[in-house]
Amino acid sequence: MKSECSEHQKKIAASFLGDLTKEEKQALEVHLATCSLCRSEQESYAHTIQQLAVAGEEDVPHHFFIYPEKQSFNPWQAVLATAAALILLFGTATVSRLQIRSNPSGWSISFGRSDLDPTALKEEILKAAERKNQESRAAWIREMQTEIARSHDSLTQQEALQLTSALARMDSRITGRIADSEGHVRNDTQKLVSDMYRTVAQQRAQDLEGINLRFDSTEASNAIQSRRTNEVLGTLLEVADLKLR
Amino acid sequence: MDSDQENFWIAASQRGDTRAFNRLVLKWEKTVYNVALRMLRDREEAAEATQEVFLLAFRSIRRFRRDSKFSTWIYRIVLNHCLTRVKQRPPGTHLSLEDASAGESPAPQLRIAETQVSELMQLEQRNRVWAALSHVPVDQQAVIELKFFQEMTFEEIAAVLEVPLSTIKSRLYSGLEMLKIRLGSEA
Repeated sequence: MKSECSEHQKKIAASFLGDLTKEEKQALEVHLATCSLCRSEQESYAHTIQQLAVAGEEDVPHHFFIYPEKQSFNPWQAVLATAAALILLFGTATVSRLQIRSNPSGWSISFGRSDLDPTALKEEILKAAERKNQESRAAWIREMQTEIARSHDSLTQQEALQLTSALARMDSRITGRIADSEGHVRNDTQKLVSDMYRTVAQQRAQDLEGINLRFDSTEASNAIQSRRTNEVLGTLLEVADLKLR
Repeated sequence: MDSDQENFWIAASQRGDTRAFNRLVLKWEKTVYNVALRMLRDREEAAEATQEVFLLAFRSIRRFRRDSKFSTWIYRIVLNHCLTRVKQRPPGTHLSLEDASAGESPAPQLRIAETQVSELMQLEQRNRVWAALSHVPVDQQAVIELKFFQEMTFEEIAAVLEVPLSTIKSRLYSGLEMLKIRLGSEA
């Protein structure tokens, strides 16, 4: 191999890789036109690259999708899940006939009643409201008693007596006012009911009178009609009698 | 492929959207699998490596900067992963597709009956190329892969492998010379 060929053969690979300048490429082409050894080298590279190109690719044996990783156990998530379940349970109980009741022996769950009694339900609601009211009142009284007891500690005996006396008077006055109010409410209610009854009775009497008048007029018109009919029939009979004669 | 669409999937993947990432998998899995196959020359190992590459990519996609190319990033992951796998193999391990498929393939006569002649010829050609590649050092294989199979420029290859341009050229010339010895003699 000539030393000139050695230099060119280095450039043959570069020519396939696009790593030659325009001048280097032209010089190589001139040499290849006259050198069979270098042309053979060029053919070897060309064949190699051609084989790489035709090798092609294989299809994938399966898809390589990734999936979200499973979350580790989180106690807070468990608490939240329990809370959500309870909310769901009570929500379902509200919209369905499921009933959850507290009784002296504990909690009881039932799936509704076969028939709904509105009167009993109303009574139950009123009782529950009353119970709630009593509880609130008892709580308020307890709070007041506690407050008074705390005040007693910081008051002298005389001040305590004065305070107790004042509270008793205030209690008496409030009780009296409540009784007065109840009396007024009762009287007002009775008066209202009496007025309503009177109005209704008057209206009823007027209606009855109107109906009677209509009956009377209908009866009178019927009598007039009947008399006219009799007169016409009488006339007809007289005419018939005359013709027969 | 619409790069806007790809950017959309990348952005969604960075927010942890696995469905968007799986769109990227669908687009890139054949390329990644074939790169792994040529580098590892073992179908099972290539499939395993491909799955690992996509898992690695998903876990680190938040760090991907969108001012660079996704292709550069994914090629870097798959080539680095394959290079690590090859280097971890026990010394003297020599795998080629011919060796790997010898035990499980049906008899040649049966294969001819079941496949088209052109497909068979391509399979033979592929096996010859991969057998030749198995004699090329792995660092040079990576450069050949990007130059001839992925048709990248020297600059792009340097960006993927993060090595100087001169090193890329040196590896490429040496690798091509070795391939020519194996494949070019039939010319």
